[in-house]
Amino acid sequence: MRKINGALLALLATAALAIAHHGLAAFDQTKKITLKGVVTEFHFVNPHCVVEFDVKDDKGHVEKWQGQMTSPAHLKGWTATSLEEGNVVTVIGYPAKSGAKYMWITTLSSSNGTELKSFKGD
Amino acid sequence: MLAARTVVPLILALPLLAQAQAAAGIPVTDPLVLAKCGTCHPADGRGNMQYISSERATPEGWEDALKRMIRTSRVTLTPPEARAIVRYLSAQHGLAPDEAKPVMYYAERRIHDETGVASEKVLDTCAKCHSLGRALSWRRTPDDWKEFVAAHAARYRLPANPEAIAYLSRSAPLETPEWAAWSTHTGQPELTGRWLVTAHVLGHGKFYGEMEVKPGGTDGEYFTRVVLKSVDDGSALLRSGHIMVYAGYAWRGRSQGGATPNAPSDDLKSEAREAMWVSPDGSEAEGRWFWGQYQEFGFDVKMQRASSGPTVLVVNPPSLKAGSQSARIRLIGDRFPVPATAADLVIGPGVSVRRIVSSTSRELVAEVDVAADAALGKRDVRFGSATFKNAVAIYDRVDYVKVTPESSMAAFGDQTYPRGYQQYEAIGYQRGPDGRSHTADDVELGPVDATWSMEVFYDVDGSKRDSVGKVSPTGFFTPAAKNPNINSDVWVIATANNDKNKDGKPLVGKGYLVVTVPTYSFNGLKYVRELDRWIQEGSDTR
Repeated sequence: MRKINGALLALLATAALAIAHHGLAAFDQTKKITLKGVVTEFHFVNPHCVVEFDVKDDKGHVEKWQGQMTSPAHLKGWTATSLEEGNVVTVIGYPAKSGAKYMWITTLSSSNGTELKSFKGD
Repeated sequence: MLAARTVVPLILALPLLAQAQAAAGIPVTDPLVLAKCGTCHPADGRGNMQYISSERATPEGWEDALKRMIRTSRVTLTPPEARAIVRYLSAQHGLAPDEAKPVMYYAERRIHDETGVASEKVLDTCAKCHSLGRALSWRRTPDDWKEFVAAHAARYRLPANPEAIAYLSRSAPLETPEWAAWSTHTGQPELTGRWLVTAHVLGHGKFYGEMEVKPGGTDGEYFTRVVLKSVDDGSALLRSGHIMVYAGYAWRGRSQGGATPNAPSDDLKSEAREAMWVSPDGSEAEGRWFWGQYQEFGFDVKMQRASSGPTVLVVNPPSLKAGSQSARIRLIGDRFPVPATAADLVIGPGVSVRRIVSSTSRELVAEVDVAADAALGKRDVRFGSATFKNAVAIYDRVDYVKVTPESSMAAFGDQTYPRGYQQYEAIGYQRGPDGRSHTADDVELGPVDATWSMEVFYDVDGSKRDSVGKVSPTGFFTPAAKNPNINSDVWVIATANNDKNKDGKPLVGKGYLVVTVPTYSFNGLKYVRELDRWIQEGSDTR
């Protein structure tokens, strides 16, 4: 039997989705990257909020990125419209170890005024 | 009975505790409870038993407590005795209907978003291991909450959180106006008779039908027989059940639909547990009939007593596009006037009934014209003297697609537990007057045709993305047969076949799926599920 954290147990045992469910093992916490992009979609859902955004590289090519954050319960004051399509965001966080265009966001600022300051993990 | 959370120092303080609890408490009068629980929970001169008299809970709460006593305190009971104790405590130390309704999702085993219910610290204390609904299925005195949190913290090696104690004492006190009013209520509602039923099953659409409720052997016990028909294809399901209504409103039981032993897990004929909330006047009920590895399958059910007048149960389709001509709309219900005329059906300004296509006492089909400038949004449908509130939506475009459930999980299987699955639906929405997506004024339009796919977007090392599972063309996710022993986060993606965004590209919706390992231990404790059935249906043996 595999031992996992209690949050995931909650998903199974009680059919409630309330809090984040995994750590940062998939992310390289020795590095931080900073990206600026345009929001294409924001998922204000459990167990983790996710923002999808387009980033243009130096040659104008668009790369599609996803940034994972903590759960809605930990994003105080945020709602499903805290980030919307077209918002320009600057995000800082840990890149995926796999090299995928995926990151754990620790800091975010958006052109609509939404901010996430120094949130590490769950 | 609750001796498992009694630590030795507390035993020394029993006289003080007894004094503290003398001021508030619910005396226990049931001889069986006194006999089975009194050894560890002595009663004072007023009949207040230690802990038990300073607590109230739902049937699930008392059942959990009983299971814990059986496991940890070696309480010996026959299943009928266990049922009788749960029944007594649920009625005399239960929750009022209005207290129980907000936490029905726990009894119904729903995936439920508890965001915004309590503070971050309280959620961190309670909801890391179970839903907050589990805690809020109880009511206790402040002292009892304090002791409970302390004992819980000691048992699970967690810090006792004063904020959680304050929250629970404030949100779930023993004495409430609701309980004061309900505890004087006498007798069970009489549920015998004919009920009209509507249900929704993810991936299978809407159902409608009738239930016959007959009295069982004891007060509050009933036998049920329901026939449900699919709105989409007319296929019929017959289910027979045996239920108990606890505390006058808490419908709990099981029903069988005739599934064969080797039927697929999502077979709608599967045996199901039933948890419903009956309105205090006994006229309506709603809840869930569920089954599956983690109760992922289920009927979302609403019932109302059949009346002598017409009733509209279903309006299909649930939305009509502005500007459409001769659109067919179907009403399903009971005791419709026959023959119906176009004048009998009213769908509000901008929607005219062109003609009645067919009409019976149970079903009506009409053709309607919807003006191009008809007001958008939900509206009532009136048929004769019956009105169905917010029955149909008028829309002019689909703005976005939402995959439901938005958050979900599935589990790999092993030798002990079967796989846990997940069914999805793609639901179309139009933005409301605020012009923004995902806000409260958005209008749900109903299911949209979609092509399903999936994308693993998180796993520990990115190396096992091909071993998670697959989603079918009907939006049914099946985990891989082999457990890769990792957790993965997956987007389940619905790409609309007919609806496009402003750039002419298909609308896309995503649901967040966690695919995880089959069984769990937490701080060395394994959750026990098998006792559910033992208590509910076990034979009269020890």
